[in-house]
Amino acid sequence: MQAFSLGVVDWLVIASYFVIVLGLGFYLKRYTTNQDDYFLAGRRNSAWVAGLAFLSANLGALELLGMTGNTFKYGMYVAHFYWIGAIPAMLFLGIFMMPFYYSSRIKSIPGYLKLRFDEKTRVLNGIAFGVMTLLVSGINLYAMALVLRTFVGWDWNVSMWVSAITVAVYVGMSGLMSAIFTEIIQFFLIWFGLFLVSILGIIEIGSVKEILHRVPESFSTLWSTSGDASQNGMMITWAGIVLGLGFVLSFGYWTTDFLVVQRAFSAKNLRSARMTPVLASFFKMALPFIVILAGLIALVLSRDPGSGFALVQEGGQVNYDSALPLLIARYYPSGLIGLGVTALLAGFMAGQAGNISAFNTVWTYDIYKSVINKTASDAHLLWMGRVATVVGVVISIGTAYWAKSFPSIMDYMQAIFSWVNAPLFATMLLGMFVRWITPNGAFWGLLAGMGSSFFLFLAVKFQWISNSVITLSTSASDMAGNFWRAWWAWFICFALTIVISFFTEKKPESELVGLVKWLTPATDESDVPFMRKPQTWAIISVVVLVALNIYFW
Amino acid sequence: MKSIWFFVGLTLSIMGVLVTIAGILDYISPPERHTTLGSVHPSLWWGVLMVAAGILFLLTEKRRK
Repeated sequence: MQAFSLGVVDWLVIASYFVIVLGLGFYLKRYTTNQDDYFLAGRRNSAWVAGLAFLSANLGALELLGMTGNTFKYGMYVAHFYWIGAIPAMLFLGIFMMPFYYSSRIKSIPGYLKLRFDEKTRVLNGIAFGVMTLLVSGINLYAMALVLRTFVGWDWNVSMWVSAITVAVYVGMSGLMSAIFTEIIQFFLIWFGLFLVSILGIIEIGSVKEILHRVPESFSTLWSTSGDASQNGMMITWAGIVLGLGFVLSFGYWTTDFLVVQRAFSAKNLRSARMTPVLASFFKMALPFIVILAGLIALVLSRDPGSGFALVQEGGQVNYDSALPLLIARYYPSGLIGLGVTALLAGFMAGQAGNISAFNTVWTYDIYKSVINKTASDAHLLWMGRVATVVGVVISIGTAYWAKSFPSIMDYMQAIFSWVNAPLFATMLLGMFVRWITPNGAFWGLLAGMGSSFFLFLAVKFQWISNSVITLSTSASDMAGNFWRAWWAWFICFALTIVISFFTEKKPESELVGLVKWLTPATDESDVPFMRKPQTWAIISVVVLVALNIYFW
Repeated sequence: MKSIWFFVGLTLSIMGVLVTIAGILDYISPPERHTTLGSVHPSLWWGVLMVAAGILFLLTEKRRK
């Protein structure tokens, strides 16, 4: 099946994207002279730049395709990923956690674990994050090649190698700075390349109201059917949404995943770093106007026999990810097709660049300098960062070939996220807000949380236990299982860390100043105008979030 | 060092010009492949919108300097 046919102008649009990102890498190389430039973009970005990069690092093409497809499958419940499943966590990061991260001048999240706890907790998290990042990067590469082969007909090997080498060149030359620049360009390309799908869909169907009217009632609401799991498309209750997605998965990802938090570290001062996730929250709330709308438009069209629209079927299975590409093929003439493909390409490549730039930092500081070469010079670390970039891309390509020969690896993706991020959030929360949590409590609690998440995934997959045991519900989807597994991993880590901390040695409080809430002086913002304070914008963000949830209740 | 807004402006302008050209060509000589709502010529007005946005970003960069 090939949905797109590219003309000369389409190829020119795609080629211009490659020229621009490679040119950016060359241009920024002259401003990348030391390790701070390479790993932290010189710590000179404004809140707007860091905020857009913070959001874009999470805005991969895989997510756009997957969430549009999920909307087709589950309805408006998917908006929970963008609203309650993101905004509270982003605001919590900006208002409560960022002062500890930014003021301690760490270069990575594992770096905080070293200062707050000890070296072994840092290395454990560094290795887990490094493995996760390269797996995600490789699978992202595989997914990109698969999408381009399915919808554009491009050769699998050529699209994978060309994009991987391009990422290696521009990240290798100028590190986080070029990753951030290309992420922001990607943000605009995604809006200009894909929002038109929603606009043309609304024009064809009539109005947003008409779209919501034509889908099943349970597909057009957010909360009103969440009291009973059997009454909504996602087969989940409000408790699963709030505890699993809204609390553990969301906070675990947005407050501890170095891929996104690294963008805030690049801000020029603490106020800008705190504003980074707060500003990003407004753009995050707007994304359903691309993703959810497009998914609902695809659903309405597929329910209308006269529209001639149907999702791709492969081996008797519906390919939900085909919703967005098929809408592009339906509405986009020559020129715009190239823009749509470029938006998807930019999403894939920027996502890969984000993973690689986070990996090179964690490898260089939290594994290489921490364990292998403790006396490495600034110049040597800069060199090591570039080597790690190339090696990271090579391992990603290897992972992509592995995924090609073993496609069920995709099933493990959700497990990888809840394996690393969900328990880490418990460790961070206790570490930042409870002064008597000990290094051994944190290490063994984290290890147990990671292990339990992985065990629960295998136990359900191989039917050692029923999914209903984890989800506390007789009817539950795989998505509900993911949410609840994350909750249990978080809870096990949280409880064990507390229990072990009762019996093990604490760190002296003098070593925890600046790292723990009750031992750190509050940030003085008395000279900051009211409308420039992160708290003001966080409150506005909460008001918008509540209004959206009430409107679509 | 040029700011990111310069590169955003450059990208939108270049791509906007290319999309507009495709729209003009389709307007003069309608393509064989018909798309839904092709009669409203989305390439043409969307391309112009991108160029306008691109110029806005380039002017922002110029004013910043």
